[in-house]
Amino acid sequence: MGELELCVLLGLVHAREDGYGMRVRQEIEQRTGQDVAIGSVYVTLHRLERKGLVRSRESEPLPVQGGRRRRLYTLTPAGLAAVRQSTRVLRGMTRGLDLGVEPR
Amino acid sequence: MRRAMPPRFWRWLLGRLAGREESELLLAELDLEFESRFEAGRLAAEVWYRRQVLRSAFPVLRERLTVGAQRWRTDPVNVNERRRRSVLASWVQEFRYVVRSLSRAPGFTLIVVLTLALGIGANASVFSVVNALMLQPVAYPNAERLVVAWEISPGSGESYMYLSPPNLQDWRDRVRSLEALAAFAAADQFVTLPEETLRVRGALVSWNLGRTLGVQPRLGRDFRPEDDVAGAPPVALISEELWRERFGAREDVVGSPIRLSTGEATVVGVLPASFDFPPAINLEGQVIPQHAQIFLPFALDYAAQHRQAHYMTAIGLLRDGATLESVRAELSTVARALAVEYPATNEGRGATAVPINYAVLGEFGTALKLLLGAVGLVLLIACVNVANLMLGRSTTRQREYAIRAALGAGQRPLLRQTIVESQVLATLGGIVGLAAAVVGTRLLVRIAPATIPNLDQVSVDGPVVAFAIAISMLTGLLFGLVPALRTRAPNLQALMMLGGRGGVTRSESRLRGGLIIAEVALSLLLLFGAGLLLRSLRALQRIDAGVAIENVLTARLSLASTLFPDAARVRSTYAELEQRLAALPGVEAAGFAFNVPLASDFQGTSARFEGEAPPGPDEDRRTHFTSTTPGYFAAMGIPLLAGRVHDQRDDADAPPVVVVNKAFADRFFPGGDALSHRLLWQQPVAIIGVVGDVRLESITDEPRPIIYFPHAQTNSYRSMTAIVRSGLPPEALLTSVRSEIRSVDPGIPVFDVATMNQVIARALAGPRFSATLLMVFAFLALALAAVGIYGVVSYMVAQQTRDIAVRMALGARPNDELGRVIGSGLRLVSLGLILGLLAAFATGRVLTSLLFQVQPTDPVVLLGVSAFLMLTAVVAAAVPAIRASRTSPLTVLRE
Repeated sequence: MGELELCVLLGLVHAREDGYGMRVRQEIEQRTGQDVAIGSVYVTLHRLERKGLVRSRESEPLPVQGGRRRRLYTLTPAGLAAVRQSTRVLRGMTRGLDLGVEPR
Repeated sequence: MRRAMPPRFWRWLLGRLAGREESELLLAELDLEFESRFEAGRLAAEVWYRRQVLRSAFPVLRERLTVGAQRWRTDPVNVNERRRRSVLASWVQEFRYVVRSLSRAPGFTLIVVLTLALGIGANASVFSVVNALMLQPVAYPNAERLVVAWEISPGSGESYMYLSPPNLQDWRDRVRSLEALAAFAAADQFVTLPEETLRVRGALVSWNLGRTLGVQPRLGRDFRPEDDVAGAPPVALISEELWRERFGAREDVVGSPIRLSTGEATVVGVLPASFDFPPAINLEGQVIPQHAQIFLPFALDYAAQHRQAHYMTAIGLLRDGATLESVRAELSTVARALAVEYPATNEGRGATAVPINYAVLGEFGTALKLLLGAVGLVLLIACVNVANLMLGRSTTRQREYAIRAALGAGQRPLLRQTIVESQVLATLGGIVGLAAAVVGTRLLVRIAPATIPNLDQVSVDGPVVAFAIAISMLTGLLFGLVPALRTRAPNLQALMMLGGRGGVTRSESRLRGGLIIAEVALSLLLLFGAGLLLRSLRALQRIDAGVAIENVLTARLSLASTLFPDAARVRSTYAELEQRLAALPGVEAAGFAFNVPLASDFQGTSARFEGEAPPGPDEDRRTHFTSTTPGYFAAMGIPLLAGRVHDQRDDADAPPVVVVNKAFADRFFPGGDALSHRLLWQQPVAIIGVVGDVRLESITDEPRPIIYFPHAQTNSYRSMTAIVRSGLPPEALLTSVRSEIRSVDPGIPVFDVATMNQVIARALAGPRFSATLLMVFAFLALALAAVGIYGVVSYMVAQQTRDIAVRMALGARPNDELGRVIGSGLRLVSLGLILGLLAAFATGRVLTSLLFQVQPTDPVVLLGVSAFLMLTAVVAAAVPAIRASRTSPLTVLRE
């Protein structure tokens, strides 16, 4: 699983019920400082959906005039399992290392 | 508060990249984010937006192009998903679908591919020839600045002539627009090597020929001015081929001696293999020493030669900044000045220059263009055929289209299918056609006359392949139009009601009718042109020469004024030469003539006779004349019809006499009393004999009137052509002729040697070749047209089977039905014939230059072709009509 894919999945976890593309992008930007392109986020979401790690549905229209429906993504069980696995791997590998990286 | 809008262009761009469905959501999200950022700062927000678009562009686009179909598979029920299919994937899927459906109809596919292959292959073949000949006829470094300069001989019509050395010299000195003027002439040589004596093609050249053409020797040096003067030590340049084959490619060949028939010469250099003389095929019979192996300088005192000795081909190099017009103008001026300075030899002689590319191609260019036109017509006919087939196929698939349309497939998928289908078929046809072209081109090259230049360059190479691809695509578009038009607005209800096979809708039958008319018209045009040329070809092959021309050798001689200063000496020398040649063992007859039929144009004048009033301005007194020695008539095999030919008695002291040919006698003395009249030629001249016409004198219909002056009574013919009739093989004959001439005087050059058969073949090669080629294409067109017309007419009739059945059930008689159906088919064909005839008349004039003894409006050909097409149509209509009328109406209606 690629780095961006992992970030997007984790971003979705943070976003909970607001799992739309822009929100995920914001999460990534705020937490990592990376200014990811919205297009990349969307492409990644599509790819994750094809892999069966997330699913999507159309949300209710926004409560404003001319509000459009939005597409909401949520993790599937498989997606959740993948995230846990990756995190476990990362923690395992980084335990005891002093890489000079401070968590925010 | 007004909603903040992101930069319009960027928003639009992202929308286009993402595709309609995807972009809605994407843009909506971006809009929201933009709004919130906008409050923090407008500029920053816009910058951020732009960056987002730019950086999203690539991933979004890639996703769009590659994913589509997979999504379809994973989520087939979701209609929105389906609409997000990527562009590329849908085309790929269409392609696979088309391939499958085509393989389910192998007969159709095969016929279409073969038909297209025929058309495309033929076009590719002809294009490969055109490409080699027309686009790159001459490959010298200086080609754009090179011109071929000619003298124009006085007489009716502009006939180009070789230059004589003094004229060349004067032109060199006086024509400022030419930086250099070089010359060459054919002069075969005998080269004596340790192992054997070879006869090689050779050329006499002026010292600056290489310089003028921009060619440099690959070894040694080029000629220098001091090599090209009388009495200079003999030098020679040899070709790379000769160098490799006979001199072992040794470097020390430079400076070594080489033994020639004229003595020993020193080799000073080797010319590269890439060099060759420009072929000049629009001067009939002019001998260009192509593939010459040895080059000698003229080594003459040019100015001292006789002005009437025309045997040099001149090539000029334009000065930087000079134009063709300036050269021509100067040449005219110089020619006029020379006519005044040397009236005896230059009176009435003009001069002109022609760009070297045009000189090389000349009239052959017209034939080539015609060929392209013909082969283009073949392709069009093939297209029409295929369009018909496609039409038939689309008709039987109406139901399928209707269902697809009912299920919501928009027009685009249907259009896409027809486009893909036609392009696939066209590509297949193109591939097969290209393969056929490779074979066809090789065949073409083998049957083409040797006078066509650059024949070895003709091959199926890059440009030809590109051409084939281009016309394949174009062809695909063309015949794809027909079914594409039909996908426009299928009337679903009507189609459903017409049943499975699909009936004949109005638009369809109109379309078919149009196709029939087009096919008939095109076929008529092509067959007509080919028919004309076919008749022409047969006439050419049956030329009754009027003489027996086997075993006749021709060779040109020239008596330079340095060696033969006065006219009397020239006369006596030729008389002696004739006697000596005629006395050679194995020689039946020998003579000399100023003009050899088909090898050079006769001079012209108008005839006047003693004791009559001067002819009026509209009287046609045109005649030709030439000068011969007595033995000429026997050597050429021209029969004597009345009186006698001139002989040794008719010399300079005797009363002037002439011999005329039958055409002359018939033209001016239809009563048959030519011998009792006298010609007015500066003084009265008695007509002492009438000889037979030599058909070879022109490739046109009528033999032209000719006056033969005895050489012994003329003053100015120093260059003559020897005609020797003998049973000996030409090689041996040439050797003894040369040695005999040398023994009279070793300074007499002998060049342009050819047998009469070669001369004729050369003159006729071009027209024969064109006619043959066109005949081949005509047969192709014939086959295509017959198949096409048959197919389309019979299909149209078969479609009306139901109609016929219904009518017969209602009481109509079978014969009436038959007549009606055949009649309607014939009506269409007639329309097509009329159209085709009009077109044929319009283009007939274009063909005249290629025709021989055939008029462009030849009724035989017209009738023949029309009848053939009509017959095909009748048969095509009759067969299914008869079958339809015999079937029980009930059977048909039950289907």
